Amino acid sequence: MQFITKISSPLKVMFLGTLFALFLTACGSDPTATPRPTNTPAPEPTPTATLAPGVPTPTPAPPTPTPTRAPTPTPVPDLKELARDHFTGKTITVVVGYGAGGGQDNNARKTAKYLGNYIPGNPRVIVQNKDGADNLLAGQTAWARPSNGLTIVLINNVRTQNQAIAGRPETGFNLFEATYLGNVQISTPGSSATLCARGDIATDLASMLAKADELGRPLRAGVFRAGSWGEILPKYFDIPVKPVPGFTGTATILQGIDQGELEVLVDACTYDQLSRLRPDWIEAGDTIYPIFNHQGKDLKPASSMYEIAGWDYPPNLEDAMDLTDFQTRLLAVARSMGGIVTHPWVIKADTPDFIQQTLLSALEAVTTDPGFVADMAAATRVAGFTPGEEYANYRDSVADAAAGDLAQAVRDFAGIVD
Amino acid sequence: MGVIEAAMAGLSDMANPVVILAILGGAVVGLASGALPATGLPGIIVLISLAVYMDPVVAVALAMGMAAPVQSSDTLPSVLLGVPGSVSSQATIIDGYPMARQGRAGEALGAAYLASLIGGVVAAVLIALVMPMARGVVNLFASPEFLVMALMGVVVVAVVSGGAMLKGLMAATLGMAIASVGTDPGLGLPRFVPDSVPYLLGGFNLIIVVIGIFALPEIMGLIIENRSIATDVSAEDAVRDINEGRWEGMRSVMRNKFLVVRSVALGVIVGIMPGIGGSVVDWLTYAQARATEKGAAESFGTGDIRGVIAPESANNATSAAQLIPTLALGIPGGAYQAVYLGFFLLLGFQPGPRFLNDNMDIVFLIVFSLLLANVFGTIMLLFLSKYFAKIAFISPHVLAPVILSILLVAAFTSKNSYWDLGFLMIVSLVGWHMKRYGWPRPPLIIGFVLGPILERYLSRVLGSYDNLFDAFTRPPSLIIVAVALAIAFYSAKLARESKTSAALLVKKAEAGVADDAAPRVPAGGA
Amino acid sequence: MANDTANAERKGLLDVIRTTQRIITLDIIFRALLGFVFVGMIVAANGMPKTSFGDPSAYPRFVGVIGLTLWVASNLNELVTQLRGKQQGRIYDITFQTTGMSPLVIWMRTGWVFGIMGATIVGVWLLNFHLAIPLFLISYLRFIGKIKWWVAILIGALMELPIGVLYGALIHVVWPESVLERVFDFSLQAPFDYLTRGLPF
Repeated sequence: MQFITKISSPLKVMFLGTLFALFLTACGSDPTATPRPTNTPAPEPTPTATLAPGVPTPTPAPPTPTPTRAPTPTPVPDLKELARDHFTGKTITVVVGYGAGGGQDNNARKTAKYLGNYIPGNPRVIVQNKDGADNLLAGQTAWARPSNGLTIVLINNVRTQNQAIAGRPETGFNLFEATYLGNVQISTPGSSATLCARGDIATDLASMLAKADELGRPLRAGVFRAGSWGEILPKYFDIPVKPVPGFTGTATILQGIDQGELEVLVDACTYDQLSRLRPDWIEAGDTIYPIFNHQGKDLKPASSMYEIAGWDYPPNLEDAMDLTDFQTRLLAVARSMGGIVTHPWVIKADTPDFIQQTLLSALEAVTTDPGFVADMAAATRVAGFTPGEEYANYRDSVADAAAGDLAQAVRDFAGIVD
Repeated sequence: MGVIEAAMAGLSDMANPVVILAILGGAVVGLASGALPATGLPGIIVLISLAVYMDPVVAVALAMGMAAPVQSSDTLPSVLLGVPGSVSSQATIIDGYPMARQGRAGEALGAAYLASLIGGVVAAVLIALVMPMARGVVNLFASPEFLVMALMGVVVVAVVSGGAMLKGLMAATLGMAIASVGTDPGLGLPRFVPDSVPYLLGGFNLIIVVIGIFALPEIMGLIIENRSIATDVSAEDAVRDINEGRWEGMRSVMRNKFLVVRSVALGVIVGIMPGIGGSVVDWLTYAQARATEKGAAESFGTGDIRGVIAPESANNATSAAQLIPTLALGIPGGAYQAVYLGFFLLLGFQPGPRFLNDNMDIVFLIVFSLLLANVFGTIMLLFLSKYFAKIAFISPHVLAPVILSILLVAAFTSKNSYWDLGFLMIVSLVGWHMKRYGWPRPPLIIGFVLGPILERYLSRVLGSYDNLFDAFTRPPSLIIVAVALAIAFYSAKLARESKTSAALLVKKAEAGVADDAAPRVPAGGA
Repeated sequence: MANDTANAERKGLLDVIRTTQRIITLDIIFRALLGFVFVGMIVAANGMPKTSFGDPSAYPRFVGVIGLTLWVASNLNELVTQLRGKQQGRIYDITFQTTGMSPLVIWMRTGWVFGIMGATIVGVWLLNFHLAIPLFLISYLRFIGKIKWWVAILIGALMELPIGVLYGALIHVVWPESVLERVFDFSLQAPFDYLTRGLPF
């Protein structure tokens, strides 16, 4: 039997040398280096038209006024000492329900880079990936660990929605006994889900309805999951739109418009998506036209996009057509379900208070760290603190809506099929 | 930034010794990743962890250095062990492994390295040439083309089933059935998932299926047959073969230039079509080689060098070409590219039209890094081959447990669950049975990969076109259909010719003793 | 006389067993299971709800129907092939090379392979990867592979590099808590995490 027990000297030297070079490369990099996109959009007090000629840049407007809420608790000295004793030498694990490299994984890693600096004791913060079952496995993993603040989970809104609608927790993961710490990002100001039509299809609601009549069928909109606006707009608001499944993300849906397979956009036509993925459409101005704003958020912060494209601000859905009382109430619920930034940071509710306070403060503080803000801006996301109360309120409002005459519509919006 | 300016900027980045070190260091890590069976992703995941702390240019160089040689070094376990080094090196096993058993591992490896190098270099150059117009190129392929490509997989299945076409098609359908476990891609409804097994909501992972169907049965074979991999030659002859065989293998690549060109072209086209992926391109090219090369019907599967050249030319080309839709449109070309997409986002680059406008210099940095890493990786592999080839002589009771351990760890890390291991056992039972009872295994993998693609694009086509005639008479669809029909027709013609010569072989075989290792005589059964 | 009767009965039973083994081979069981899978898909598809968004039953039904059709055709073809005494055509795959080996030996080794895999997996559940894999390697390499003790231990220890360092400490794979760790309340990954505690990620 031949067995390799010796490695030749030149080979050993080469291998070790390469490893050493790799180590030097990793260590020699500036650990505080910030990403180098050539047009980093630094936050500006007012949105400007462009930086480069004709190319819109996502310039985040000043943070919108923080919703009225209780003052952020500041750890009092004895709490700080408690926290220091607790977190010194420890590692906080942030469990992400997606594989490495996904959008939320990126957010978590960027946050992890800075979070430890704002927690007394400066614990190490690492990210663990546990994908599967649409974040449920991540939740179960986190819930199986002790309630000591050393495990935080990022959870998508679908889990909150589903538990709220069902009125009960899922196996091994209970969001009714959870503390939502909040989120490290806010919606890009001016980004509101707007129904947009391909340029050759329609320029406003009247022409869109006429086109559907002419074709004798609803207009095709790409979607990547059941539910959401693609489900309820045709079903409850008589908008002639047909959701076409099989798309795997916003980029593929936009490609569908490019390729002529899709005729309208229901979820993907937002300021941040278009400025990130289709600045040429904005520049051209006639590839797509916004028809109505169903999400209902203020579009003025995206004025740069509208100016460059030469578009009028589309009307809100309730201004574009007469709505019944049922439709009005459904619209309000759907807006609250669809409008909140996804993937809040969550811990178990029985975590000791001083730990909860500490983590809450730290998370909020990270969102004002210039390094973190720049890192997020480079990925065209807006750093900002979305308070945990918003998610708890969202959970409760969905549960209430799911109990009344809107129950089926809420289930449809959530994509729940019986 | 103009193209020339961008190219000069990319070159000036390459003048930085730290960048060169990053590429070479990454290449070493990539070589190791590819050489260990079924462990392609860990390197890039560690890099993602490091990325927030690194200079973006160095990080990109390191990542591309790691990415490039994986598709070359993954040939090592495929040829030497019969275990796929990654999901895109399965087809290499069919002819590469028999070559190793015949003591011709050096020839197989030499051919694979040069073929991979050509594929990688061509695709890297193509990135530079195509990227400015990438969106137009990628947009040529819409839903009907993807559906047709998936259906073309049926042609591939028929070809790689050999003389057991019905069994092969059934295996492919079984693969599609396994792939349907999980959630409905449109509705998110659980499908064939018991309440007590939420693990299955994510479906079966490709790595579990590949390890269970291909890798573990080969390891079992070593123990059951109680022999080392190379049985036909002595260790001394094998070492001599490595030294001479490497060059002979490379000469074989030059002799089969047109096969290389066809395979690279197919690899690039598949790479540009996001989602089809590297896990079927090797079978597609293997099938086209089998269908179009003279004498391939008899010799493929017994150690024909062309059965190594074809998939190896294509898989490097595909993995580089997949960067085109990833960077130009933000649509990942495959599973690895999805991770790379996240990696670029983490560095602060926004793949998509913005990337081409603002970071064209990074595109050229990627191209130059891929070129350097491919060349460096090939040189390293050529140098190391003679050491790796000794693996073929290690006792099965030393090799098998080590490989088995690596595979169990790799399988577990797919979803970090005991269910990974449990289902691995079940899938390996199926793999063992198929190997034992003469069911072709490649069709199962093809069905597993193409099934969801078929489902997804069927939904899109039915939803996006009023008239299927309009969908399938698009020029790109017609071209793909025409190529598929041509392959099918040519393959049938060659099969008819081979039946005639097989009839003569039957008479010769009847005079001799039957040998399981020798190809059985095609008898028209399926 | 009684002995003759007993012997005749035993012979009859052996004949039945041999005939059964010829008919009910593993492959027939596999084929039956395949048929069950395809039929099961069609039945399950019929039970799936139709929605305005799409029909989730379309694809499983498509696969089930195609599969069942192929299943019938393949079984008929197999029957005809067997009756005509022909052999299956060559496939492009690597089969087991077991010519000249006794079937009993083949089955014993097959059982051995699945047995060690199963035992290793149980070992992982009991002891975690950090202990189970090196122990498996060391014992197998030493007692079956017959290599030197120190080489076996070295190889076993080297496996900790991917398990503890690469996957555990660098990638932070979620190794599940084993029975041993649960009972004695400790973590086998902890030493590796401690060694890499200086890393920022």
